[in-house]
Amino acid sequence: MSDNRNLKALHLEIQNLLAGYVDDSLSETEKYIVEAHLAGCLTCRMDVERQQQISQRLNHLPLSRLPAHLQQKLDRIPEQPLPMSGKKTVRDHWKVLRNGFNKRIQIKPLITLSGWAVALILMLVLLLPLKPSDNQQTIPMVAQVLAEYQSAGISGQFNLHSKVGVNAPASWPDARVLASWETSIGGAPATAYAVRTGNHIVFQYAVTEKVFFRNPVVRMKVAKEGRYQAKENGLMVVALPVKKAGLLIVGPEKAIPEIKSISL
Amino acid sequence: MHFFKRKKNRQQYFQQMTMPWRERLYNVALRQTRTSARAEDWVQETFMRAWQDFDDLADPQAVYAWLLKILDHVIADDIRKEARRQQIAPVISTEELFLQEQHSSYQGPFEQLLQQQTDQQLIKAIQSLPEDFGKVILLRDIEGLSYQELSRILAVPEGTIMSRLSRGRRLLSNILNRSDRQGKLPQTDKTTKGIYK
Repeated sequence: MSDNRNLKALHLEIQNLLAGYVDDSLSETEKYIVEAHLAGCLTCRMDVERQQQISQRLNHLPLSRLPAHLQQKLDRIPEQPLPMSGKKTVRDHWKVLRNGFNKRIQIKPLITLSGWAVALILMLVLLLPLKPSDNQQTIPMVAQVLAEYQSAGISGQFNLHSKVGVNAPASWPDARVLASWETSIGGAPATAYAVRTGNHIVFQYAVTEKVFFRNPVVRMKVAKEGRYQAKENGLMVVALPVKKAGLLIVGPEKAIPEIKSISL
Repeated sequence: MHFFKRKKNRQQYFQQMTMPWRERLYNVALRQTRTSARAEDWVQETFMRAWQDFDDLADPQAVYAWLLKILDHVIADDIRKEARRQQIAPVISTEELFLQEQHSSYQGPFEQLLQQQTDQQLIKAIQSLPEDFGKVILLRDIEGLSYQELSRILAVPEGTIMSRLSRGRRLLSNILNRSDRQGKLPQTDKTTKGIYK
């Protein structure tokens, strides 16, 4: 049963390398592993064949001609003194100022620059007391799991015993589930798992899809990068989407496994 | 006098460096949208930003990759603006799982199916892919950029490029197979899945 799972995980991992195999961009070791897998996997062999065919077909797509009117517009771009004249940057002002001093001071740019300087000072004054607080403070579910993890450590709940027959949503090579319990994250029911990895304990929280995608920062990050992560005081939270739910992994930064080694 | 001479030189150098890439850049833009007007806007904005930041071009050999990176930012900015206008939050699908688990059920020769597709149909199929996947296919298979260049342009590790490419090509073959059976390309959520109107 476990062997089957391992084979499936290997198969999925190798699927991600097939483009590199097709494009001859793998290291010798990776190539060897992929070829060994291909020998026994018809699905991946077919996949490789199709990827090759797609790549070759797309390589021969013809180019559309650049429209003449666009050509003319592009020709004119370097004739403009400043391409974005309405939106001068600090650097532009610095250049103007420098030239101004060279040709006797010009008052107008100085006034504009002083405006920028005042704005900058105000921003610094406003932001400095806040310190670089990470944006997880504004994401309730992240703040909550961090707080739960920290309080569990303080209250000694880490003295957990192995719990047989429970599988956490995410697994990685040295992960072992110690305990699981029902809790509430973001006002909705959630299941928590304590997982031992090396000498550390990390918590996993299976939360509802609604809670997981509630925050726009998380939504954007997950949409763009496939995950959201945040760090605070040596702890790290990784948020991963899973089927019709979300998963939060929280623990010491060094104990959080690499994304590619996580099986969901 | 010296200022005008230097400006003239800068103009000439800019044109000399960027002009050869105009058409290819236009094609990259065109393949990411359904309207040529929008592609033209993107290209124009790209060259305007390139002109403004021309002094930042560190490696003249990599001017095309530099232009592509600017184009990528231009497109992302435009999409973001539009999303704000429409007040639509991105919708997350369980695509990852779908991609991992689904395999094509097409039994006939795939190459034959591929050859039957017109160029336009292929482009539409790529446009219907999620943005991240469509982009790597576009830049790797059509534009022929290396994984290293792609990694620099899209600011993600080469391993991510490879897995996106693997999944993107697999999804593309599934889409082509489905379209072959149903006689049309699937409709996707244009706002979130990378087709830019």
